[in-house]
Amino acid sequence: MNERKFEYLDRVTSYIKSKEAKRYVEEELHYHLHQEIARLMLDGYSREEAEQQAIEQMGSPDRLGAEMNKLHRPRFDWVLALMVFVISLIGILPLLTMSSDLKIFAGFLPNKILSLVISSVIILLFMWIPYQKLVKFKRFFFILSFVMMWLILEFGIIVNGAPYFVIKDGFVLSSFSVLTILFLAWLSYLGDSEASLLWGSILLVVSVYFFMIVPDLSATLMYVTIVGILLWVRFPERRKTFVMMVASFIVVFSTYVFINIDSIERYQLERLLAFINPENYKDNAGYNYINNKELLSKSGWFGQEGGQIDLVEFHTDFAFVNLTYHYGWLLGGFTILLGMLIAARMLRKLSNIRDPFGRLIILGGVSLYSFQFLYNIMMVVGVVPYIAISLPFISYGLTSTVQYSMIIGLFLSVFRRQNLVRITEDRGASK
Amino acid sequence: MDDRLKGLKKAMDTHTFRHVPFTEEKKARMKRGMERVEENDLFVQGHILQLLLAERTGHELIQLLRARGLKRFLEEEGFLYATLHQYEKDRWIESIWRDGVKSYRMTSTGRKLLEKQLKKKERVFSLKEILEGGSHE
Repeated sequence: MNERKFEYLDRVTSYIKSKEAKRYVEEELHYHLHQEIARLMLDGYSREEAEQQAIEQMGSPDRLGAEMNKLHRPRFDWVLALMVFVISLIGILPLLTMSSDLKIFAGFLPNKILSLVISSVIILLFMWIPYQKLVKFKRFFFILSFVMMWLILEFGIIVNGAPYFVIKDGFVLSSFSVLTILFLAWLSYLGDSEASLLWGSILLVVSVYFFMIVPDLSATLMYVTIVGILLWVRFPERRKTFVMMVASFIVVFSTYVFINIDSIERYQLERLLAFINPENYKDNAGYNYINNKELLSKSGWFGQEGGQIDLVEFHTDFAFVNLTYHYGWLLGGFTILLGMLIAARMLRKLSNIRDPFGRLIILGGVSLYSFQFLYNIMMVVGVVPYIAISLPFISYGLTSTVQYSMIIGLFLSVFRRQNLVRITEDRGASK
Repeated sequence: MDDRLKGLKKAMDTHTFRHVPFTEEKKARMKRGMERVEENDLFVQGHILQLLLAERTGHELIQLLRARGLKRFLEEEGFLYATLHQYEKDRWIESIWRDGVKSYRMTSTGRKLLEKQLKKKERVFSLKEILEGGSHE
């Protein structure tokens, strides 16, 4: 008896390509028909007559379907994609300045090209998957991160003071990889309407312990900052509680440091003092500050000739110095600008996003990305002390590539579905 | 009409237009179309936005627009929804789902647009008054 109604609805939605839009349009039009049929029946029409009349009143299903399809096309941010493309290409440049042996035979250049391919795959993968599905995997991500932590602590080999778990030649798990998985885990957990600030805080304290015992200072700092931001955004009603918790934590932490001030390792103290006064530590901890400054000031607008230069970490943490020295401040400055524009654009598009979970994802991603980008730049010019943070897009390294690609992909996923998201409110609640 | 023209008309009715009868239904549709031309997009937009100062479902809007005498969506009620979805894309209105029912309400952008339009209308009216020396509804 209701076939005509569903026939009409199916015909309209057959023109709509997007699955989510199909569902929402069908639901809305179904409700309309339902109401209109009821109204006509009150006017005295029989059920069949009312149904027929209501459908006729709707107008041409074909034209309507075509228009709905035009209105509900998924969105893509071409400008952002272009910016990411350009800055990814710039990321190849530091590796071109290596001697040919290192470049090809040690595999740096081919690996970078490969990592760009992986980057595109990850971006597209995350864009395609509806971000709302993340919530289902919250337990999985947390368990995965704990497994990774255990592997690194139990079976990791120490390289340069940090433990790495080797999966295969070239593929290692570091504490930074754990950070990436934990970032996903937190997004998934906080995307759930059932998330609680209490359990979240407990989870934070437990997990940050890992980064502290590695020890990975930069990861600890980033982790606490990013999760702090996520909790701040996610629980707006509990901000006072949150501030009190942070304050008490700072008090406890400072007391701990104060009590144990004698046992702070000499080298850690040295590193801090070297930042404040590099000249006094010219031969060890202060060397990088002085060297970076010198190289950057010699770069000029278009860079210096000279192949391999005396620069450590020239393809990772200090890749920016390498880039600027060889290609000049014109390119260096442009790179900084582009990196910041990418963050700024994602923030600007935030106003288009109504879904709270989508907003959380973008804010979290922009925070994680900007923290690293800004800190690295400030670090190489000597404004902040050195900690091991690489420059997204420019620095070499698969773990970094995976992380920023994930952030871009998640943004595109949220952006794509901005018009297709269902904003619900409880009865009675309104602005 | 001239005899020759009458002959032409008859010939065309018999041959060319034989398969395109000007039925009553077509007459009615054309008349509706002509009436609707007077209801331009801006006019309809103004009414819809004004009605959405309160939160309403699409179905409620249809009834209200009909009550106001708007003919735009007669026999084409589905296209109100297309219009609403377009306005939502333009951020003039926003939608909320409550218990499986979708309703719409104004955004601040939409409110500003409506105010601008109302101001324009007022100016037009006062000019008309001056020119025609009377009051209008």
